[in-house]
Amino acid sequence: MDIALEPIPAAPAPAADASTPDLPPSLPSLREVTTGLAGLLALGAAGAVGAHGLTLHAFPGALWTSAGALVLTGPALLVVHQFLGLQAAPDRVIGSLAHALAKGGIFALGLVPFQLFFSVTTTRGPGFLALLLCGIAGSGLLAATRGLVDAELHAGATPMQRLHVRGLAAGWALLTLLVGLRLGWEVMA
Amino acid sequence: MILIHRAAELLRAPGAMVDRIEADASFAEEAPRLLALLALGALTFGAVVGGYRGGLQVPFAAVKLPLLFLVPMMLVLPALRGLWSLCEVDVSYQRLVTAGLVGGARTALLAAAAGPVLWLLFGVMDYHLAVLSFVGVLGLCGLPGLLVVARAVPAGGRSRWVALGGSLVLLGLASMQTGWLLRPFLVRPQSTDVVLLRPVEEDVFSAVETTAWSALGVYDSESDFGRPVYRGTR
Repeated sequence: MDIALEPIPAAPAPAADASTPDLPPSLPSLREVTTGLAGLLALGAAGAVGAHGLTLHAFPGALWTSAGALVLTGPALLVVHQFLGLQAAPDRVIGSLAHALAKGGIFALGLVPFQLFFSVTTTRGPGFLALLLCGIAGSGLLAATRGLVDAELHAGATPMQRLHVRGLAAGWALLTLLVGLRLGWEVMA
Repeated sequence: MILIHRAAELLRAPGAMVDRIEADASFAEEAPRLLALLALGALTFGAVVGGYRGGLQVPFAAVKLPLLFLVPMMLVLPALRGLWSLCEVDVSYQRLVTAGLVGGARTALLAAAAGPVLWLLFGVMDYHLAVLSFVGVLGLCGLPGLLVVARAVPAGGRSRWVALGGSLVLLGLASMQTGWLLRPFLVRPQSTDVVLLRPVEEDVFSAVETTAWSALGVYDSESDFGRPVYRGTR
C-alpha cells in the first residue's frame, strides 16, 4: 500500500502585535559575542589586579559566572519554552540570551577602567567586582527577559501565551540569578 | 573671544550645543575649547577653595580641581555606552563624550561663578561648615551638568531608568574615590602641614564608615591618621 506523504500545511502565522518594537537580528554577530566574552574576561582581570590579597580566582570569575549561568540555564529555558507550546522560534529564544550576553559583556568591557581604578587605589577590588557583576547580571537579565517577551509578542502570542512567557521569563531570570550567585560563590571561595 | 562665545553657548543652550557639534562633525575643534573652559572654571573654583587657608594651598587646590572633574568622567564614560545599549538606548560614544565635556565645562563655569559667594562665606565659617559648603556648591553646580548628559541621550528605551540610575551610581562612586585620592582641597587656616596629595591610605568608604561611627559617638583606638576610629564591635 502506498502511503502518500503530503506536507502538512503550515498554520497561518498569527499577526504580530503592532505595539511591539522591532526585533534585533535573530543572533548577534560573532564580533559582538567575542567582544562581550573578552569584556567579561577583561573585567575579571581588572578585578585581579593589585596586591591587596586578591587571589587569581577573580581572573576568570566574571566570565565563569555570567556565561556559566547562561549555559546552565539556557537549555532549560528552551525546553520549557517548547513544552509550553509558545510561538517564538527557538533561534529567537537563543538570540535573546546571546544578545543579552554580548551586550552585558560590552558593558563589562566599558567597566574595566572603573574596576581597575578601584582595584589599584583601594583594598575593595573583589567587593567592587562582585558589585559590578551583580549590576551586569541585573541589567543583562532584564534585557534578556524583555527580549524573550518581545519575541513572543512579535510571533503573535495569544493572551494566555503572553502570560505564560512572562511567567517563564521571570522564573528563568530568578533561576539564572541563583545559579550565577552559586557559581560566583564557588569562584570567590 | 571664541571661548567667550562657547561659554555663552554652553550656559544658554547646552543641549543644542551637543546637537550642533554632532551635526557639524566639529568634535575635534570643539573638544579643546570645552576642555579649556572646564579647566579655567575649575582652576578658579579651586583657587577659591584653596584660599580658605591661603598660601601654597591656593595653587595646590587650583591644580587638582580640574582633575576632580575630568578623572571620574574618563573612568565612567566607557561603561555608560554599554549600559545604555543594554537598556535599549543606542547612543554613540562621541555624543556621550561631547555631552560629558559640555556638562563638565558647564559645571566648572557655574562653580567658578559661585566662587565669590563661597569666598565670602569662608570668612565667617568654621572648618567643618566650610567643607560642607564646598561639597554643597559642587553638588548644586553638578546638577545642571548631569542634566546635560541625561538629556543628550536619545529618547526611548523601556529600561531607561535603570541606565540613568546606574550611570549616577557609577559617577558618584568614581567622584567620591577621586576626591579622596586628590585630597586635601580645604585645609584648616592654622595648619602648617600643606601637601599636594596625601598618601594613598584607606579609601573614601572607610572614611565615611569612620565618620558615621564617630557621629554615633562610637570611638576606639587611634587610627593611622591620628584620629579616633571605630575598630570592630565593642
